[in-house]
Parts: sequence; C-alpha cells; structure tokens
Amino acid sequence: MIIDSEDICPIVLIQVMRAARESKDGEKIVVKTRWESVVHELKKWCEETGNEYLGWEKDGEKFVIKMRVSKKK
Amino acid sequence: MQKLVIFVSNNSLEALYHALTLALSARALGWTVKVFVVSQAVSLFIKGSKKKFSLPFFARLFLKWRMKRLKITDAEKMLEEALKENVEFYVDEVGLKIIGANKEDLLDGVKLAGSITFLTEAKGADVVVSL
Repeated sequence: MIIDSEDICPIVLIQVMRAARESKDGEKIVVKTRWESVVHELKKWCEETGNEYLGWEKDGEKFVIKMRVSKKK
Repeated sequence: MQKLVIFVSNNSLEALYHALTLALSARALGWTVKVFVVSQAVSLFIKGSKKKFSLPFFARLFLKWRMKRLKITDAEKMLEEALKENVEFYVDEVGLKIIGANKEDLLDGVKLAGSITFLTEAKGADVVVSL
C-alpha cells in the first residue's frame, strides 16, 4: 500500500494506522512525504506498535519510508 | 491501553493545534485520548461557527496565508480526523454558557463534562498535558 501524503506528521500517522489496520500480516506500507520528521516519527511508531521499520530514502523532494505490518503482537 | 488526557484552557490556535497533534499521534499509537476544553476555548467546538482564536486579525490572516503556502493541514481537518478516530472531547458547561451557546450547538461527538470528570480521568491517565 502506498500513502503519498501532503499532510503534516500526525495526519500521516493516522493514515498509516488506518492502512496497517486494513493490511494483512507481512504486507508493506510505503509512505511518501515532504516532512522529514515523519521519517523519525514512523520509526518510533513501528517500535511502539510492533511493526517493522524497513528504512527510508530520498526521492526528489520527498522522503520515502518503508514499513512491514506485523499482526503477531 | 495507555491513556492521554489533555486540558485546553487557552483558545489560541497554537494550543488547539498542539492538542490535536498530540491527540492524533496518541491515537496512532492506539492510546485512549480524552481532551477537556474549558473557558473561551469552548468556542472552537461550536458547530458551523467561525473559530475564534485569540490572535489579532492581521496576525491570524498572516498565519492562515503561511499555513496555506506551506500546505500545513488546518485545525478543522485535524479536529475532523480526531473525531473520526474516537478522540473524546469534553467541554465545560460554564464556558459554553459564557459564549452564549448550548449543548445542541456543539460539534457532533463533543460532550459536556465538569471538573470531577477531568480529575477522575486525569487520575487514571498515563500522560496528562495542560495547554
């Protein structure tokens, strides 16, 4: 699932939470954002929620962050 | 489940923005979130009214323009998302009466509560923030 968002961090977090809710175990979520803080916040979010943070890269103006959903908590 | 209780007594845009930011982030972590709103800040939760922030007219205009230019999500959208994600908002009845509004004027999902409700919720919370 790809989330390409212009919104600020807390809205992106809510979008990721909703995507994770709808995803199956092991499914990947990719977030594209121009806010650098989202990179750090999603890393923390994964640690807190038991999902796997796969890293990030820069693609032009946007930060691309990858995560794997884990339903085994 | 962890619980965050936020107390908003300041009707500035900053206070509401910080409250909504914390509320949404806590919901993203799966926490229960309860927001208590008192004094003039209650006006921010009235249906269909223009939000009355304690900022001078030109400062408010400038801030709106900057936020639009930077594509920063506005407080209304954040409030809408918070209500959708079951953030519970409680407003003070006295504050409501002072601004000449009634329970029926409140946004859907916003409830009335007093200090005992706040104290008991705060007592059982993991994090309490006052803005």
